[in-house]
Amino acid sequence: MATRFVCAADEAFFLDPPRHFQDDWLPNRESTLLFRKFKGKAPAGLFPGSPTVQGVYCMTAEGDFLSGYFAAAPRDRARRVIEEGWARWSRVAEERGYRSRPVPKVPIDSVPGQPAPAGGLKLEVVVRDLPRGEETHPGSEEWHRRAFNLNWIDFTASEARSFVTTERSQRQVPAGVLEKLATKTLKDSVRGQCGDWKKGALKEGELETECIDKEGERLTMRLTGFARLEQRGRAYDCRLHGKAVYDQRQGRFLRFELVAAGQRSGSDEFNFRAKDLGPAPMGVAYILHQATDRAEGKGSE
Amino acid sequence: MSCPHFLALSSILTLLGGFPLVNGQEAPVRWPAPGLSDQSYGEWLTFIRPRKGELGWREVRWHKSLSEAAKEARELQRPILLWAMNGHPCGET
Repeated sequence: MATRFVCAADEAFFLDPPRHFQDDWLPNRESTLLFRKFKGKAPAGLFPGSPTVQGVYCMTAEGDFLSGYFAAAPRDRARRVIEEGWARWSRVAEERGYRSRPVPKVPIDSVPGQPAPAGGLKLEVVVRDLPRGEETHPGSEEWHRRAFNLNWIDFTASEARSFVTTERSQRQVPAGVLEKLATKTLKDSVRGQCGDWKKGALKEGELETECIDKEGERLTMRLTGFARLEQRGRAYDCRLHGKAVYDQRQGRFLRFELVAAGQRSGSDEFNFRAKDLGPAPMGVAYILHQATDRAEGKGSE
Repeated sequence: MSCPHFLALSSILTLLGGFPLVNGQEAPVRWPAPGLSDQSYGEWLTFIRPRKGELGWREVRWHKSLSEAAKEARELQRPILLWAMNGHPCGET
């Protein structure tokens, strides 16, 4: 059904930011203006006066309301929004004499953030709860048990190079690189948004790299370490373990796998942990960003 | 995935102590985190990473901003389907 539409996924906060938020701070003013126009035309009650406008909506390119559902829509409700939107669109298109052309099938660049810097490293990050005893996927509600979240992180060329070594002995990855990885990605966004850790939240940590195999220009490194993060309201204490394969001739990683496993506790404002303060185990997994690899015609091994 | 065989000594040891909690008090660790090794980390990587069925939304051709979608919708004379979340739905949180 979605193939009949031009689809957009966007950040709700910037589509309808609070009044004190200045226009200069908007990443995309056109998107905000269009969404506010749509909101103004939507039926009363669609947006229940909440500070967020999360939801699934159908609209015209001019911002006319077609259909919508506020907040996270169950599968059936989302389907109904799309069906209602299409039905209303069909009437609008007829009235206005539109002659719709097919939506292209070519994929859109799905690399998050900016393109990976030259020689740099973009990793896809996934965070999920780990088993609690016999409970493989823990949680009191079905959506808790299915919850995971995606993030990403960019490393500059010099930061990326700091994971590479030809030495058999362990060498520390610079503290700044670990701090960047830890404060931006070792966070509990399993069930919802979680802010980056504040400066100084990384209380202890080490990440070491050692070459465990060399085959021609290809180096295989083992990555091991730990991190202990703590700030008012939450904490995470984990071990890190992984492996990376780097091609010296090509100057790029062919594979990068890293896992964090440890205890989280506490909650952040929007991460739905108020009733699940822990401590409880949580994992974070890193691999080469696949969309980036696809976009560059590469592919991890 | 069952997990008991992944328990490392370090994880078991954490059971004996407490975990620094937010209010400064220590809370007991009820469920140890799995230990990680060359043998086990790959299994946990697979456990944490989404299964194919969990990434169905990636098969949809999402524009990353409403304005980009509106431009194309205007050209094609098509409606827009918008998915809005706090924290970009495509994982740009």
